[in-house]
Formats: sequence, C-alpha cells, structure tokens
Amino acid sequence: MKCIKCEENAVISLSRHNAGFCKDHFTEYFHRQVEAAIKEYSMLKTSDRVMVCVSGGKDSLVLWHILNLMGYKTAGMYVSLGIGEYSQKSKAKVLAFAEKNKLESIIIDLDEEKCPIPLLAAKTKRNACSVCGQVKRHYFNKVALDGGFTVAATGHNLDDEAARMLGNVLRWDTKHLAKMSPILPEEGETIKRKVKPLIRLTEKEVAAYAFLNGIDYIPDECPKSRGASSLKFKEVLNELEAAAPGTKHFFYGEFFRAAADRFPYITNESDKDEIKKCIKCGAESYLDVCSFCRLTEKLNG
Amino acid sequence: MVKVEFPDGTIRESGKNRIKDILRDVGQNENAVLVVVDGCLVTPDLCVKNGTEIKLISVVSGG
Repeated sequence: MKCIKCEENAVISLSRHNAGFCKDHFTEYFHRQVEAAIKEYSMLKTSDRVMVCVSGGKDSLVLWHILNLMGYKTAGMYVSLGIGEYSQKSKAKVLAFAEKNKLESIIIDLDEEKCPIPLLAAKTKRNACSVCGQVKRHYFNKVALDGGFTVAATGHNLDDEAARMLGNVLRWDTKHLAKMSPILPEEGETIKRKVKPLIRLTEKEVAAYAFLNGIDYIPDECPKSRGASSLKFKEVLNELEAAAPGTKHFFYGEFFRAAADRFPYITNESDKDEIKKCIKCGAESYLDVCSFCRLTEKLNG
Repeated sequence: MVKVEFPDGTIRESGKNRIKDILRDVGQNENAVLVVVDGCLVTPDLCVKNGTEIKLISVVSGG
C-alpha cells in the first residue's frame, strides 16, 4: 500500500478513511485531527494552563507530547496507584518522558498518602476500577486547584469513548449518557473544565503515533483491569469495525447529532442543595464530609 | 512458515504470507494490534516471505 499523499510505502492503513499514510503524512494527519477536535469543541485557549492527566500509557503521553508541540502550557499530573511493579514501571515512564522533554510533572503517590488502591478496594469491598476512578478524580481536582490549572486534559480516544457509550446504552444509563461529550464544563471552584483532545483518533492510531515518534510508554495492562467490561466492549466494537469500517466513529459522533439532546447534561450543582467545604480536606462537597474522605475513613475501620 | 510473536511473548506459526491473512489465521483482529516487521510498521496488504518474524503490539488499554 502506498501513502495517499506522496506514494511512499504506507506504514498504516486507515480503512475508515480508505487511505494509507507514510510516517510523515500520518503524523500530519494525526496532528490535524487533534487540532480539529480542539477547535470543534472549543476545548483549549492559548492562555490555558493545562493539567495533562498521565498514566504512563500511550494515550496520555501522546496527548502530552502533542499539546506541548502545539505550544500549550502543560504539566503532567500522575497518580501512582500503589499497584506494585505496574505502578513503579508506569511512574518511571512518566518521569523519563518529562525529563526528556523538559516538562513539569506532578506526582501523587497513594502509598505515601496511605491509601493505595488495592487496600482501599479490599477494605471497602468495592471494584478496584471504581475506587480508582473516585480517588483519581479527587486528586485531579485537588492538584488542578492547588496548581492554578484552568483545564484538565485526558488521553481518552475514540475507542475508549465508543466503548463507554456502548456500555451506557446497553444499561440505558441516562446519567452517564449525559456526560459523553469530549468537553465537560467547570463546576464550582474545584472542578475544572475537562477535555479529551484525542477523541477523533482510534486506539490503533494513537499506538502507531507513539511507535513512529519514539514515545516510550508502558504497554502493560493495569493488572486490576483484567476482565473489565470495557475491554469486552472494545473487542466487540473492533469486530464491528473490521466488518464495517467507520462504525466506531459513526456510533460515537452521531450520538451528538441524533440523540444527545434527549440526555441533557445536569451539573452536580443543579440537582443538590448547597455546596460546602469538606470539614476534613476542604474539597467542595454537598455533604459535610466529601466522598473521598468517606472512602478513606474506611481504612481506619 | 511465518513466525508470529504475540504481545504476551507467546509464539505461533502461520502458513499464510499476507499480513491480513496471517492475522486472521492466528485469530487476531487487525484493529487491536500494530504489526512490526524488521522494526517497521507494516500494513495488512503486505506479503512476507517464509521465515519472516513478525511482532504484534497490542493497542488496547483501559479498564
């Protein structure tokens, strides 16, 4: 297969675009897709201070790399989850990337905070992914506030969001269908605007970009995510995509044209009474003690 | 035969020569992996010679 733009040998075939690209033109295509997403949803302003939520995986490091190339003021925010060797390896990838590119990194270590995910999940008898999401959200909000960031960017790609949408549709989870947009507004003082600039790109395209541009990431799956339903949804969507290229893009993208207005976004603020400060940590909360502090209280029980 | 190295390090062999056919032969969806030959990414239409070693890199992440 030849590159559709220059007749060099293609390094990647994009069936949904009926095109192949050489390394240089694939990189150009990739950057254009990120720029288009940012522009389409008004995700970022040049004056923004962007907190890039990084895990050491391909998506978040590629996002950090590109936002930095595009001239945004960024810092990487990493939460070490306390999951043994996996956490050690992923943290090393983040630190190496930051050092190589002379970028600021902010590290939160849950072992040092005395609330590693495996311990929290065991004590609360909850699914590790659910606990992890709650803990990471707390620290994302806290670091964004303390660090003066105006926006939090995550590396979610088209496959991530199509899989999440499929799960929400299968459960008719209207609350979460209302939060499918790649940009979510800020709420109160602590919750900053959240954006997903890789939304127009598939997981394979992100991995190819990382490979071709020498971005060193941790390829290992989080050991706690084995058997997660989102992985099964991705597998099903990849089968559909192989049979009908463009399915993921259509499924996710057309939602906003055809159905999103039936699931209006409701902020956490609008369906509760009065926002307060958590008496333990000072975070914004609708109760005297925030959900994170209520979670970590169980470590003492 | 073509030697296929999976992301977990396991090795399988395939009697096919076109990458697309090799992936189908070993039960791998082409949207879920990158295919590397001699350190370079290749497209599914490429035909490789017997004895070639190909490496698969998983692209699926998340939980």
